[in-house]
Amino acid sequence: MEFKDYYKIMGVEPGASAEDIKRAYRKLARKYHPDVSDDPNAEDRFKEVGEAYEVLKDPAKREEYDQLRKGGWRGGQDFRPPPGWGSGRGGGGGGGFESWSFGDGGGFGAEDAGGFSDFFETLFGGGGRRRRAHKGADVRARVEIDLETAYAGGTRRISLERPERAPDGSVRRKARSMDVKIPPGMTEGRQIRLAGKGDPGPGNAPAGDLYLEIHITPHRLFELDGKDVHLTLPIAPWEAALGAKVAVPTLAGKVEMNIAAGATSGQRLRLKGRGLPGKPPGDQYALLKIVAPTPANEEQRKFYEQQRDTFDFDPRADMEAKT
Amino acid sequence: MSEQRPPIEAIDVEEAEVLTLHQVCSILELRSEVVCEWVAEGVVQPSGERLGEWRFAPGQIERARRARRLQRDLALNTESLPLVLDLLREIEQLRTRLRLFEKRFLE
Repeated sequence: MEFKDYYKIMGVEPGASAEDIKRAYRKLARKYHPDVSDDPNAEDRFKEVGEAYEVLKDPAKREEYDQLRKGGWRGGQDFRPPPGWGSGRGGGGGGGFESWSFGDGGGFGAEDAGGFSDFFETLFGGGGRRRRAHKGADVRARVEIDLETAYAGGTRRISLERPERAPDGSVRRKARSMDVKIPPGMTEGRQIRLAGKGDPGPGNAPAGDLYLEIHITPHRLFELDGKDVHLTLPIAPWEAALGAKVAVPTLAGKVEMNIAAGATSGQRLRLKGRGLPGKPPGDQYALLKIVAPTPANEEQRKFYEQQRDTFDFDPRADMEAKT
Repeated sequence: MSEQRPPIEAIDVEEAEVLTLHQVCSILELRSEVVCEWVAEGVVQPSGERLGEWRFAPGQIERARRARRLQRDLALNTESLPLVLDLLREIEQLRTRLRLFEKRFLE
């Protein structure tokens, strides 16, 4: 496993004071907190920073870590603990099990931040994060669904890998999968709960719950904004000029929509209640985009010339008047 | 494994249930004094007038979870939480709209 340079991760000098370390942590935590940052790597960075802080803020842990550095270990090296390492710690701390839980345990980190690295676990055992033992940990996971499932609901198989304690006290990761019926009308970021499907409770205590956070994969035609569905609808110049009845795709199939004569590019038409279901349901919006065909033969080219001569039209007239 | 079992019904957390103060405290592992302080400061807003009648919509539970994470990880004080939560929510909405418009104008 890799030796981690906690000082580098925190961006502080090895001789940094406790105050400096705290300040550096607060700054990085604000930047990478998964509730704050839009960066897809934020969660990993936040975990890394949290782990580094867990070690450097604790004088005893920091001292042990510094001893290894004095022994010559540096970031990126392939680390194996020295012989006899940790023999005096008597299984200490939280015993390792809790450190994996996504659950509502106290201590460091976003609850869905997962555990510390193998490096940390090897040096310090379980992160010392204990939960009160009256209920199994709640588990949080992401699930990706397509827009059609978000609209109509459907069944998705999800797989989770969770730590499980064997009778001999060792902890192993065990995969389990289940079919989940997703209700219709899901929107991006929405949470659904599966009661009792989190981690088993200690002893006879009830299991935690499983929370699934819904993410909707991008769709070829539709764009989502909450419950509203947006669609760019191409129309021909003559449909815009003369008006037309056109077929518009919606999540429930095609519907006919009237375009009034004189429609313009960028005009937004609403199909009430045609968005994602709910109380009230969302709407669908069609954004008109006038698409002019490229003339493919002499007859069509002549037609464009005729238009040019017939219309006294300068689409840029507005611009010129102002400059 | 669970190959042949019928699918598990998922509950839509935002619409399906409302929770009492006691349930909220139990789910989030918070003391009731903390939740009461949060209600007083506007971190979470239950329906119902008196404490015994408080009912928390599941969206409020998510807000409370996030409040707890932020308070724990960033050491925010309680008074600042409502503002932070509202701003984060607004940023999320703006990011969604921004993505939408970027896509529309870049295509």
